[in-house]
Amino acid sequence: MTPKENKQLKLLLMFIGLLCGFFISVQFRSFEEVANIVRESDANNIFREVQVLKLTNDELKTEVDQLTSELANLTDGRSYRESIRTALEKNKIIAGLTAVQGPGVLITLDQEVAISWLVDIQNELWTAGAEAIAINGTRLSPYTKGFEDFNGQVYLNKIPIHTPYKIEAIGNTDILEKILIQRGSITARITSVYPGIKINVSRLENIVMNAVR
Amino acid sequence: MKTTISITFSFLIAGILLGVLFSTQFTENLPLQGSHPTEVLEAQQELVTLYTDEQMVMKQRVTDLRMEIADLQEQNSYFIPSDEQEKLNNIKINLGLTELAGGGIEIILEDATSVNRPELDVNDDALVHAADLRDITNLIFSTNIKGMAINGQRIIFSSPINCVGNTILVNNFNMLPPFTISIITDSPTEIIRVITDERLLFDIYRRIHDHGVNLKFRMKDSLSLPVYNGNFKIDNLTEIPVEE
Repeated sequence: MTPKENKQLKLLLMFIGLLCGFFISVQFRSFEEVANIVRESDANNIFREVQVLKLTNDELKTEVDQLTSELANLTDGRSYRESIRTALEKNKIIAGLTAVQGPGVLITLDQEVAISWLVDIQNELWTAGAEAIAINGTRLSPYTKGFEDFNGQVYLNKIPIHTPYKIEAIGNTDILEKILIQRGSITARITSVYPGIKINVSRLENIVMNAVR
Repeated sequence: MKTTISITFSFLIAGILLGVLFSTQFTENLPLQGSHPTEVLEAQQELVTLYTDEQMVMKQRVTDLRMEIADLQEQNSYFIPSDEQEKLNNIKINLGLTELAGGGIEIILEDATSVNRPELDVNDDALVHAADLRDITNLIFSTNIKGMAINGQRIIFSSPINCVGNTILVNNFNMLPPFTISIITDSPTEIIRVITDERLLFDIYRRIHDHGVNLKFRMKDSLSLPVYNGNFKIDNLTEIPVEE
């Protein structure tokens, strides 16, 4: 090989190397773009879904154990009477037919918001395991009519409600508070839509809620 | 000869490095992780599938146990004062703890036909959101109904409905569209009246008109709603006795 050919070969190899380097880098870039798409769209969402599903399954396991035990105890007339009375007391509490008290959180909104936000707040609280919720003193129950908006006035259970909106929830205080103040929470989202609004979340040792009727 | 090879090799390496430098002028940082991100995602999705399957089994177990207890209580009702049994039955009906049958209406919500929900990059406005289901069920609860279910999941006043990514959890149960809301009611026209009021469901109707989300009604002579199969917690609730 002549020196000139040798030089040409080296330049050719260098050019081939340059192309190889370019394509390798482009390939890594597309890999990273897939990672970004996947990371932004799905990773955190699926993690949250796993969290919610696991929590639900743990609670269902407890419910299955309790029901199995209740069934096993139904052996005679006395146990049937006790079972009915226990179920009646428990279901009256759940249905809001008895006044209740317990620890929880109070959320206060000092401005009017669209009813969809009030619906979303109560949904967040139920999701977090709230055991009883009241809004401006109205207990949520199977007998409570939903939120309505007539000419800008918000109604709950056909009763007008005014600001400040006071939403009380009895349950595990730590979990309830966390879901309300964590990053991206419902309170953060409301604040971003209503910049001047004041939303206060406070822990209460004892909340008293009236029976729904 | 060796010198020639090493020099040639050096030129090759230099070329590769130049190529990398050339293209990284236009790029961000190189990824640090070794595994492909979709592998991690697939593992998490498998876990979701596992938990969802487990949940289906347990929800069915809860339903079966509740029905078994209710049957035994009814068979042995002579042990129990009739007024107590009646009170309990009425409360259970309102809590969704009994099956329900009757006439009513179905509302069907579907994504736009142009989108495929599982795709990573999809037009969000063309999808049915959990917020849509919450707003609609809230309006339905403002009317007089006997019971409601979404895709076979009984909905009660405390049913959570959440969006996680592109999936929707109803009663913490994973669901995909179409979403059929089955309502047993004596006033189906009232349901249609509130649900077709675009002022009350502004965002849904914006996406129906502009992005192809689909909403339709179907009158039904006969509907059947299953028992609510979620759990009820009262660990932090203490009853306040009524003063006599």
